[in-house]
Amino acid sequence: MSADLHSRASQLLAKSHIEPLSREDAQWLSLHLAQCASCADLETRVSEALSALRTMQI
Amino acid sequence: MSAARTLWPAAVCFSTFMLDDTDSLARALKRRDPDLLDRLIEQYQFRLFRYLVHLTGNQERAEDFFQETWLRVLERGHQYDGKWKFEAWLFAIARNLVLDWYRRKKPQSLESIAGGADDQAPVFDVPDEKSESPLEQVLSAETRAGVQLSLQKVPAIYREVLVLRFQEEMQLEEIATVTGAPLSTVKSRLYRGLEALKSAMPGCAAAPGGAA
Repeated sequence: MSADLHSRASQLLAKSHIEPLSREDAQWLSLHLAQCASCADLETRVSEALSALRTMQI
Repeated sequence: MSAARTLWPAAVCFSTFMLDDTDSLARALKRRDPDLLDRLIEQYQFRLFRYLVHLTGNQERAEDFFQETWLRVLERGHQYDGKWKFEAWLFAIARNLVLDWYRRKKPQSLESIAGGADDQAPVFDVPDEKSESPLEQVLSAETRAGVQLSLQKVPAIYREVLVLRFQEEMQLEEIATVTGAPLSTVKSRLYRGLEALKSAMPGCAAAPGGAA
């Protein structure tokens, strides 16, 4: 799989945490994550990190 | 009886509006009601203090700013117009106090403040979450500790918007209000903040396949 595809996935993943994706982008990303274990793993880790932020205590 | 009848309508008025009813809150703040301030402190104290710890990187300093912020709310509550959520206004006050302090200390802006590595790092306790097993609590605490360490490596200007967005769960427009930055700048900082956070997380330094 080309680096461009992973790069696009990375950008869309970041965008998905900030604002809604277009339907086209969301479908593309969903398909990519289903086929790419490393991008899916990255998304899991970032999502876990952001979730941890929400429950962080002082 | 006449005294009770005089007080009763005000009591009803006070108890029936919620703190998220911004128009009612604005009117109540204009009256400088001390009971209202108590309720606001009770509701927002944790989030405000956590935000200040992130901004300053120092718990003692955050406590000073915490007190100062509520004093400012008491003094300037009449200026809140209910246009935005109260927390956006509250956090903007806190942020401005911190920025003023930094500027007095050394002429600079939050944009130029380093990641806080030289300062006393905030200490994070393990929360009491009864729904988790002891093992889950340990794993969650490790995750949080790891995120905290990674977050401290993110430049302050990006860390701030990450905290407001993902910890305080503010809308983009509210973050723009707090930071006084245009919406496009807020988005840009969030993108860069996420990239910086990813880079700071162990094993997430680069996108898969070698892409940056």
